[in-house]
Amino acid sequence: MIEDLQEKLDKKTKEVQDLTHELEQTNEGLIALYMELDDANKKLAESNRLLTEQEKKLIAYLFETVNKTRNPVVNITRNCTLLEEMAVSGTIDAEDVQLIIEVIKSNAKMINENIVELNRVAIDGSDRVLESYRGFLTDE
Amino acid sequence: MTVSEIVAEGPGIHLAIADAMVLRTSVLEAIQQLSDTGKTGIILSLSEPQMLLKKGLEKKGIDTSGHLFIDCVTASATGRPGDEENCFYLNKCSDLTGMGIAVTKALSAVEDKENMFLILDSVSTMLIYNESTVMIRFLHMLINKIQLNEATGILFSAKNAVDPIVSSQIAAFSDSVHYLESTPE
Repeated sequence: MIEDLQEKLDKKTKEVQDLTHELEQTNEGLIALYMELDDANKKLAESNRLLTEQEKKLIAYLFETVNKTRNPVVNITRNCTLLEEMAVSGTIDAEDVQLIIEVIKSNAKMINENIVELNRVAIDGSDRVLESYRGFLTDE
Repeated sequence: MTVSEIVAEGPGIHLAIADAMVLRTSVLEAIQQLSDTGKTGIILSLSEPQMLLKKGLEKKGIDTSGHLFIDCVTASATGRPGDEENCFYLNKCSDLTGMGIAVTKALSAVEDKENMFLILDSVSTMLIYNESTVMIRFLHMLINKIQLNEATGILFSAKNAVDPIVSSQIAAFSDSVHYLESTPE
């Protein structure tokens, strides 16, 4: 009777040991999976952080390019207005006209140079544009 | 906010943001009002040749002989500097070192430093020719010089023409920021 009970107990103990071993293996697998997930999350977070930095740099680049084109236009308008005012009031001479037009031409030249620069980037082709942006954005 | 209200604030650094169409009028208005209080001015112009600025001021009845001009436009636009005695001519608007030297010389030339003002026309034009980080450093130096002399400095800028981050950095150095009304006084 005691021997039967001992045998049953040993059998159950063995089953428990097997289940415990299986559970340990499952836990190890889960830990490895969590570590992989954690690693993937870290990579994703880093990727997002880099993307945000690049987006910030791209916005800053675009804003600066827009300003470098827009501000000369503002100056041209200002000098045209000045030319008009001086001509209407009769307080202008040939030297003034020449000076104002030279300032206007200087600003127009700057706009042209900026557009040429933008074109240069655009016609380099999408792959190279991306590459040049990557270099520009990452300061490599 | 009007130019009169900025001038009434007295010494300090004031950033004045105006619509591009009234920027010139606002600059002339500020010089006129500060001149009327008997102050000597240093006018740093990146948007208009000194000769035209001077004509505009004289048309308003302002005696410009006591003021000092730093002209960054004439030489770069015409290829030859002017020859006015009370004016420093720079070859290009990107020459911030030359601009700094000219400001230092102009400051030395003004005897009554506490009764002095400096006008910058304009931050937005300066940004066309200079990288924002370099420009910020220059403006910081310029502002320090004005503050050390307890003078009045008005930095003009066209509205919506400067990167908001750059604007906020300049605003941080300034004592006050003013958005001028679209209709000049």
